[in-house]
Amino acid sequence: MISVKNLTMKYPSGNAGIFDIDFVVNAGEAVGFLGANGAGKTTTIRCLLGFMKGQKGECTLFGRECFLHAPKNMLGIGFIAGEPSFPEDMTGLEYLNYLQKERGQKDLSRMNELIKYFEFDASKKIKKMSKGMKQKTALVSAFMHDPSLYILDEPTSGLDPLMQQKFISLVLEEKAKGKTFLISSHIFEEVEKTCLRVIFIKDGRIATQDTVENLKKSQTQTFVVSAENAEKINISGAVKTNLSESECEFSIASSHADSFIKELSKHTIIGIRIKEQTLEDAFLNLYQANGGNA
Amino acid sequence: MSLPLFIVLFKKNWKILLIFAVLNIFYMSAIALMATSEMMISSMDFLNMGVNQKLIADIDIAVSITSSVFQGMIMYIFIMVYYVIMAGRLVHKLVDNSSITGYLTAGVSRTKFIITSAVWLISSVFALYLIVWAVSAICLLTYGSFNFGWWTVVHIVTFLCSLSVAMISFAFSAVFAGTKQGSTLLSGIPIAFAVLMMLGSYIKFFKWLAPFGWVDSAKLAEGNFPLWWVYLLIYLAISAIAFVYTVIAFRKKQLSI
Repeated sequence: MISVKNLTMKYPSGNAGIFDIDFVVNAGEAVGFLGANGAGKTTTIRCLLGFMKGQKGECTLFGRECFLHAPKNMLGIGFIAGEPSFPEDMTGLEYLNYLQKERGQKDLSRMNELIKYFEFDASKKIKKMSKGMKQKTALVSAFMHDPSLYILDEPTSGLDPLMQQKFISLVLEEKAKGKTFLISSHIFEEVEKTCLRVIFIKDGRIATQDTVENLKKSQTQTFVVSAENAEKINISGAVKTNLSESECEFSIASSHADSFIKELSKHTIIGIRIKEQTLEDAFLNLYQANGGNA
Repeated sequence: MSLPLFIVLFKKNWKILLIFAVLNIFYMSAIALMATSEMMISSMDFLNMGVNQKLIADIDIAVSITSSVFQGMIMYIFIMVYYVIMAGRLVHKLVDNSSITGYLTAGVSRTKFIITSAVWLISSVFALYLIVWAVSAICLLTYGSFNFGWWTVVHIVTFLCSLSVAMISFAFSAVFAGTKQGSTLLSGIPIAFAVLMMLGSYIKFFKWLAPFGWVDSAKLAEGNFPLWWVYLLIYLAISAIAFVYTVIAFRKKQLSI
């Protein structure tokens, strides 16, 4: 569905851009696209939507080259921009009606359904809308034409928790129908709930890509250990943090879990619990390990 | 061309068009009705607008003065301000604030977008000229009969002259959209043409550097400008080249939106 091969897009102003980006999103997959600010997420999305053309490499959507076939591709994409901007002189409804006419969509039932679902007052002028309202305009415009691919950049930015929950439910519903998603977000919980696979981008390059589960496992594991004289326990290869006299935290690489537990069993242990790793931890580990800014 | 987009552009810009139409109607009717007054002709002379100084209450002089003022004020100032504003609003501003995303994500191709915007620009400038032509003709008719054919030719040639500069401004709006130079160039070039035309009153060479200075509308209104059709073709060619270049350049443009 999405194929990006060695894509390089340098901005003339400086070093910023993307370099040799390589990834594939298969039909029916939901993939998270994560990175710090300025990592290159938006530039990649601009190339996918055909707003920009890379100097090197290629990217395709539905098997069609992105820049050349942008208008045709757009009809099959539901897109939300990182900072949604619309023709401000129109009301929300006027804009949605324009989209529907331009896309040749005759059935308005889905549009009305979404307006109701997101409790969206579409009669207001867009320029007078709050950030959350503009985001709702973006959500309705992205989902109303029943596209097969969704490219969503910060889709819940400005939405209240209730609407964020509704958005997640909608994504899961669409995912169940076999739709494809590429979601860029800073809300890791949202990505964890909706995506099976994640691509991390850092300094314009793909840092890693794997399933959410593997990423969480492959990162450092943290054990909180309660023991008599806990502060005296030292295990090679583990980074220890004393929490109290009887409790300490050990962080180890996942590959050393077995030897760590064997070593730990030599001590008198009162209790042990594994601190669950989140996607956010994986993200922070990736950035902090390489001295980047998360 | 996209009809839904054209309707959106109409709804977005009709108020500006109306304001300029009212302004032009007011100005043109005032000029046409006052064209024979002594005070008016003296004022024209003071403003160095190249008006014949013979103060005769004659319809030919009225036509001559009206056409001079028409070319001097209506075309240079009012309509130029209109199409500079419009050229900026149609492309440069939309790319600058990223709201063009709202149109492109609807599946409108860049070619369709730029052609529809250009069609709106051309048709709205044409509408302004049509209004000015009708109002001034009605006002001049109150003096008596005049050569209506040449009066129409003045408007056609002047419209095409404006169109050629409008399309140059539009080209800069599209090619430099989203850059710092964009707004400076799209407004600066037409203003530079107007300034060159004004300087042309003192140094004739400057007059030839700006499309505004190529045709003497007073002579044209009197039927004393036999090469008018050559200029008409030149203006058409400039408009066409600017338009084609805009479409090609905008299709290839990197849009950081």
